[in-house]
Amino acid sequence: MPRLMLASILLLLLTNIVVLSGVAYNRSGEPLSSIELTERELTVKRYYSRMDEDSSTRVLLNWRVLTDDMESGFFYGRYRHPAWLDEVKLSNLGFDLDKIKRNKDKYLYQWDTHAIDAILVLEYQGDSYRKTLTFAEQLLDQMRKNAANDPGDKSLAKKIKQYEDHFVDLKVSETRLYAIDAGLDKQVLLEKYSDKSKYMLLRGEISLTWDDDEIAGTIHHLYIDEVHVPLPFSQVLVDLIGNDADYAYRAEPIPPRYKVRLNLGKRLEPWIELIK
Amino acid sequence: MDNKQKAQIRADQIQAFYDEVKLLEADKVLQLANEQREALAQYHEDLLKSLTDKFDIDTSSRQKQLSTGMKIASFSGALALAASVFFLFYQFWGFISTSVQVSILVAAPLITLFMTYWVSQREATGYFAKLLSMVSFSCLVLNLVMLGQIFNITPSDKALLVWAAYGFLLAYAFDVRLLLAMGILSLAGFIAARVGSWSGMYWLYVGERPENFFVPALIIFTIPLWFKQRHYSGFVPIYRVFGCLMFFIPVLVLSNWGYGSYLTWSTSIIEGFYQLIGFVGSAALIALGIRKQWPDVINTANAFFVLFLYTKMFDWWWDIMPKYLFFLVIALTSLLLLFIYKRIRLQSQLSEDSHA
Repeated sequence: MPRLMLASILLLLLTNIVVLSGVAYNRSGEPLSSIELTERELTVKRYYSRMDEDSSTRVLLNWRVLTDDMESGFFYGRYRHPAWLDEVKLSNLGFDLDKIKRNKDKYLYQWDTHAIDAILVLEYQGDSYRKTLTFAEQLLDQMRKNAANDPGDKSLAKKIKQYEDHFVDLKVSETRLYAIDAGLDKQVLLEKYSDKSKYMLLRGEISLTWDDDEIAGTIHHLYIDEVHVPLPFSQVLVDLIGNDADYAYRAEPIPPRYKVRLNLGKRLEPWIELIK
Repeated sequence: MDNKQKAQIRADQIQAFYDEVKLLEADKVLQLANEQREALAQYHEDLLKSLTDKFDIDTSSRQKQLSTGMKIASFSGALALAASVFFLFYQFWGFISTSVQVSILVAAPLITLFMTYWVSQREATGYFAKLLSMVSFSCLVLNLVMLGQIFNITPSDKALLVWAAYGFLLAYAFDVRLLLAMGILSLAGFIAARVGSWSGMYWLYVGERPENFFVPALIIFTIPLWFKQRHYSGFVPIYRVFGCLMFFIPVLVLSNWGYGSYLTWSTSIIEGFYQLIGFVGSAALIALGIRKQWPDVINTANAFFVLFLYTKMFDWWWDIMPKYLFFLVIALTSLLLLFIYKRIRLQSQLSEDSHA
């Protein structure tokens, strides 16, 4: 057999050994975290096209951040600036903010070269979620007071209805998973957030943007934001939700229909242990 | 004779020789004696037979036409079969257990590799082996992509390096130019991703900074200078053409979209700079191609020179000129280019004559 053929066989075997050893290493020992999430945090991924031929089942990880922008009413969301990602934190993560500020014109359009791989801490049903509920309730109370003073304001009445619906969504169907911190040292973060059933660590990218004249940090994305659902759990999900697409219009928010035990391994790569 | 391309050139030379002899005999310039004619015919028959046995070359124009058809069928068949394998797995993988999925993914490239080897030992033309090697390559792509999805593995640019290595190995093992191109593209993607990462960019956004491709362009263009490709037909032009494309396409993009550059000058200066690089670069590569007798480099650089020129003309004159005048200018420019090339061609002919 020629040498190139042997080299090809060796390459194929070696590649698969390396990949599968990595998987085995990730899942060996006790998981770094093991959290019971629900449909609110892990939504079944559906494609908009009915023609799609992908037979796999995946769940999307829904997470968000809490900002300190309480006045506008937009105090939570995926692409907002987290309150905790301030200049001190950005500097600790390795951004040279002084250099960027000194050369604002130079870096105005070059944010993609100012991104850092970081480990993000996601908190489940923690302070951030509770604060979101509190702020949303306070905002609603304030609007109701304003409406009481001006009963003829129809646009305010309409806005209150929207916020009430939104508040119900927050309590019933929206995610309770919030990114609350980031760092570079896995061990330090594991010690700081030691509750395995409440915190999970995932790798992602933090980047910078200008917020008026200030530099603001944002979580650009998580490297793994959807999780494969293997058999037999995929069948459980299909049986539970059938053809009910997640993007379909719903008059009432649907409470979570399933629970997922999500484990996180040594390489911060997740896997599903159980769905019920 | 060490490769199929050279053997084919020799066979074409023999055919041309007989065509010329026929004309010379008709014009009564040359009359071969019967013994000479028979000796020549015998020699060429033996030579063509040995070349055909060794390289499966075409010895007539009819065979050549059929071979072209076979090449097209093999190419389109390989692409379609690779896509079919991909979608077959895609359609049914949700219904099989993880262990079976992994077994299929690991075994598929290996089985198709053995099939490629087996077919290559039994079929001289190599078309079926080439088709199967392409399927084997797509099985490896599927293997890594799907293992990544099944086990939620963090995406890594190292997969590109594995695909590049396998593409090169198959290309050289079975003489497949399409896989050489795949290997080159994967290698370029890997190098560009690494260059982007060094500047703080996430590797998947490599395309957002076209300058990342200059390093792979240089490496790929110069590979045939370090590693001689004597035994492989048509590999050298592929390296050179892809090297040129990876240089010219980013330059063309940056000459119209300065925001994509790492340079910190104003966008208009960056665009002007890359327009200049485009003209100087394509002219320099045309000159290099003429000097080294690399027709592939001349043609690629030529096409980009014209593209840079027309893009610039469009920028300058499309809005301010009436359309008839704009196209007239384009036509006159093409005529001017024709005169320039004709002059270069004449000079090169004179220089060859003087050497002779």
